[in-house]
Parts: sequence; C-alpha cells; structure tokens
Amino acid sequence: MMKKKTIISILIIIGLITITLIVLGIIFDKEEFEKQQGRTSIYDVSSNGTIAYVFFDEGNPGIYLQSDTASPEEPIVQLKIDQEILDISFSPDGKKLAYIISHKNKQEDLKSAIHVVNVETGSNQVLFAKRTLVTEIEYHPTNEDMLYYLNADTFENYSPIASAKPHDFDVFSYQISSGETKQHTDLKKYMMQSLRVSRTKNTVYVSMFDDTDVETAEDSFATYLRIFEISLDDPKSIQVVSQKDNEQDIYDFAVAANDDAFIYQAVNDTGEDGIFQYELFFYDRQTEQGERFTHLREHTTNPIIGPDEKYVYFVVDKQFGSPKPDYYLYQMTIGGGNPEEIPLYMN
Amino acid sequence: MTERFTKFVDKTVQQIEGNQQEKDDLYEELMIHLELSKEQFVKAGLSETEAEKKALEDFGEETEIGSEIQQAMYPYRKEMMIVLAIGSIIFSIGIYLAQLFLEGDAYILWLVLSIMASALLFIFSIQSRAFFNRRLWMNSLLLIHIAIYLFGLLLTTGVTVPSISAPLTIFASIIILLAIVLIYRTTIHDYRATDHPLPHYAKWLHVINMTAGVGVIGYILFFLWGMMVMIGSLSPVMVIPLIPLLVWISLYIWQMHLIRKRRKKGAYAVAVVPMAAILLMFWYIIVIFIGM
Repeated sequence: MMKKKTIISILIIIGLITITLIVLGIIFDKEEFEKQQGRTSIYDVSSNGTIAYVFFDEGNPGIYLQSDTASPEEPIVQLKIDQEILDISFSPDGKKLAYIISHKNKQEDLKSAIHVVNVETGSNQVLFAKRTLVTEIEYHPTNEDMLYYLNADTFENYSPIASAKPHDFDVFSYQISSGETKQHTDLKKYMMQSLRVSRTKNTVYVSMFDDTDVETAEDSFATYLRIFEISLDDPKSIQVVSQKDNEQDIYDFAVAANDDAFIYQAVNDTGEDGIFQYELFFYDRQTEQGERFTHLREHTTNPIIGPDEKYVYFVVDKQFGSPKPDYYLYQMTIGGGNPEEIPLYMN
Repeated sequence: MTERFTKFVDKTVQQIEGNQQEKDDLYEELMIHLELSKEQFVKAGLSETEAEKKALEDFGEETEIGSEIQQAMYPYRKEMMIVLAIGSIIFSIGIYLAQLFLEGDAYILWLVLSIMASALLFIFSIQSRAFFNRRLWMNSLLLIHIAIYLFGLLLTTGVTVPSISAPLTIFASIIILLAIVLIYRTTIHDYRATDHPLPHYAKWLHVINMTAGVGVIGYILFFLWGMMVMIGSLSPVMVIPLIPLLVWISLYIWQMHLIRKRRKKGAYAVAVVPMAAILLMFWYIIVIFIGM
C-alpha cells in the first residue's frame, strides 16, 4: 500500500508537469494564419517565361520570381501575416504583375485590394479596393490596360454544416487608364471559378454549375461544373463550351491561344486511400473529343499554357487530402510526354 | 467478539474493493477465523488477551492481508488500473507536445481534462476505499476516460509526421481498449450479488448498455469531428449529435428502473433500442464507408 505522502508527491509532480505544459502551450500555440508555410498553388507564367509564385514564410505571404534575372530569394511583394494573396496575373508584356490582397479572416473583414507591381523596378500601385471578395484576376492577353476579375459579394456559409465560402459571383472588368469598373454579368452565381480571357474574341470563360434547367433541389445534385463562354458584347449570351454530356466536374482549365482547345482539370479516379485523383484532360472544341493529358495519379491542378504554347504548366499537390498541402510545379510539352518538375528556389 | 479483532478486521476489509455484502461476508469470515484461532491458543494454555494477540500475530499485517485478499478476488485489477492511468498520462503528454510543436496547436483544455481523469484513475487504483466501492462511479469515470481518449485518438490523426502519428495512434488504441476491458471486468466479472432483486439480469443490462455507451460516445465524437472539419469552428448546430447521448442515458435509467421492479421483458425490450442503433451504425460504417 502506497503511503499518503508518496501519493501526494506523485500528484504534485503530475500537477507541475501539467502547469509546465500549459505554459508551453500558451507560448507556442499558433493561430491558423500563422501556420501557413511553404508554396501555394498560386502562380503565373509571363510571356518571357518568368514564373511568379506565392510562398508563405511563417504565415507571411510573398510573391517570388524565378527567371534568369530576378533574385529568387527576395520576394517582390511581402505582405503582413493576417493578409493573403488570392491570385496573380502577368500583364501581356510580362513587365507587370497584378495581384489580389484580402484578409485571411474574411468573415470578420471582407475586403479586397487589387495591386500592380512592376517586376523590374518593384514599384507598387494600388488599383482599387472593394468591400467584396475578388477571387481571381486576369489581364487581357493582348491589352495591358484591361483587367478582368471574378467578384463574390458574400463570404458566408449557406448551410449551418458548411464552412464559409465566397458566393454571389459575377464577372467584372477594370480599365487601368480610366479607373473605370464594369460589371459584365448579373448572375449572382453560387460558384464561379477559373476565369480565362479570350485572345481572339471579346469573351471570357469560367467554370460554373450547369444549372440552367434546374427546378428542384434533386436536379441541382445532378448538375456538373462545365466551361461556359460569356460574350462581353452580349453578356446574356452564355453557353456551355465543354463536352455537354460529360459526367465530370471541370474545376479549372486553360484555354489555347486560338480558343480551339481547353486543358481542364477533373477527377479521373479514386486512389486506394479513397482520395480522388485529379488529372488534366485535353479537349478539342472542333472534334468535341477529350483525352487524358496527365497520368500522375495525384492531385494535378492549375493548368496554364505557357508562352508560344510550347509547354503546359501545372501544380501537383502531393499531400492532397491531408491538412498540409505540398505543392510542386511541373511543365509538360503541349503535345504530351513526360512531365518535368520545375525546382522552385523557395522550398 | 473483541475490540482488538473488530479494529483489525475493519482495517483489513477497508483494503478490499467490493460492495457492502461482499465486505460483510468477508468481515464475518475473518472474524470466525480469528475467533477459532484464538480458541486454539486459549486451549493451548494462553490467557484471553495473549491468545488474541497471538491470533493476530499469526494472521499478519492488516493492510498486507487486505491487499492479498483484494488481489485474490480481483486478480491484476489494480495493476491494470495503474498501467491505464500512467499510460494515459504519458500518452496525454506525448500527443499534446506533438500537436504543439509539430502542428502549432495547444489543446490545453483536453490536456487538463485527460490528466485529471487519468490522475483520478491513479488515485482510485492505489486507494481502494470510500467511493471506489461504487462501481457506478468507476464505470462512469472509465466511460469519461474513453471519451477523452477517443478525442486523443483523433488528435493523433492530426499529426502530419507519420513516424510520430502512427505509434501514438497505436498507443491511444491500446489505452481505449484497456479502459473498455476494465469496464467489462467491473460489470461482468467483478459484479457480485447486491441487494438487487434480479442481479443476474441487471448485470447483463449493464453489459448491453456499456457496449452501447462506447458506441454512442464514438458516434458523437466522429460526428463532432466531421462537423469541425466542415464548419471549421464551434457552432450551436454541434449540440445535435449530443442528442443520442441523452437518449442513451434516459433508456439506461429506464431499464434499471424496470428491472428493479422485476419487469424483465420490459427492460430487455427497451435494451434492444440502443443495441439495434449500434448495430445499424456498425452496418452503415462497414457498408457505406468500407464498401464491403
């Protein structure tokens, strides 16, 4: 039988250890926004082949450049720990980079600011700010005076068992020289993503749910995310331009220079661990035929067609489904072949 | 019956974990044994007082005797409890530090709760007195312990370093398994006749309800975890998965009430409900999630 003194001593030791652990917890506990570290899936490739990518350094987001001339370890843009970069886009000549800043805690403070940084001089300019969420931005491929963006009016959870997400999407444009903002659509879409601007026509492409014929709640479960073409001359003219009978959701895509093909991201299979595997697919608009482009059996995303349509760039998240993503940038010749990892300086 | 014997037997019986009837039986047995021993010494020519002293001397140290009887009645129970308590404290410290330094999350409330529950188990395991005799308290503490460490098991899955996460997951599973084994031991093996009119039936109702209880706690934690993943923060809607807990407690109390009134059929009919719900959940998990 253990003596009372021994028991009390043991309990005091346990208590002291617990107090020490609590103190350590108070000192080393991190807020969610402080934990972000490493590469993200946000990047862009300029017309001269420079790669810009967003990297978190202990929670601080920064834009880094990778080219023959840029110093790869110095961020061209470095933001505060409570801020986030949602998207970046190179100007057609590759000299400027537009980016969206928002607060990490969007439910508390919903606002976005669009900046442009000169990649050669590093000078920064605020173009405009909004009390809504600008989720994606895209320079016009040939007109560096025009920026297009997706605007979400709200950031909330539509259901009590869902996390807060941006909703009520529409397509907007901003003319840099005049400062004029124009709303092109009035759809208030639940979800809209992957904004692409046509090089040849006055149109934009987005991915949205094909829900025009939806009447009941059950109908809405049978809809798929498809690529839509929206004419900017007549924004009411909206049509599906991806395969209409394809039972795949298209989350992200890139458009070929002459608008005749898409490279899109969709679920291809389910891995042995039960996690979806996303691949890129090539879709020819004329033949209306699609084929698999990548065979990585990973989470392949964010396709961008590089300058001269030589390479397709994309990101692979090798830890998809786990709390910490692990992104790698790849390139692959547009005709197919083996993907090649592009080692980014910031790791 | 002498005062000396009464004191001695009282102290010995205090070391035993058991219900009042068991203690009364043991008390009687020990007293008879001592009285017989004393009689023999008196016959051998010793005085009354000397015979009492000699009988006690022969019998041994009361706390030691008590511990030996305890060990004979409930083999390795104390050891299992100590292993569970110490193992749980070590696990709590391990997973807390892993979450803090690898993921940046300090689960202070969980740490305090888990250390408190484990420390209580530790005290109960070495101090077999007072309300330790109350099996209801013991099983309640073990159920709370299981709930706390099921959450601990979830925390291990949140550690992104597999070489640390995997052994911690195994560690947590062993702790939960040991706590479940102890609940069944307390309920089935260590359950002896009390003043209950139908102790055998009551025992099996406890077994059924404890099994359902483990399932209900697992279900609640699974859904709370799922909701945390989807919503990302605490929300009033998270009260909803707690409803099965209230239903389980109400049905448990109802069954105990019925069986005490000797209404066996009624009690077992009510007991079918939580078991059916658990089996249905089990089937759902196997068919829907594993796809068998």
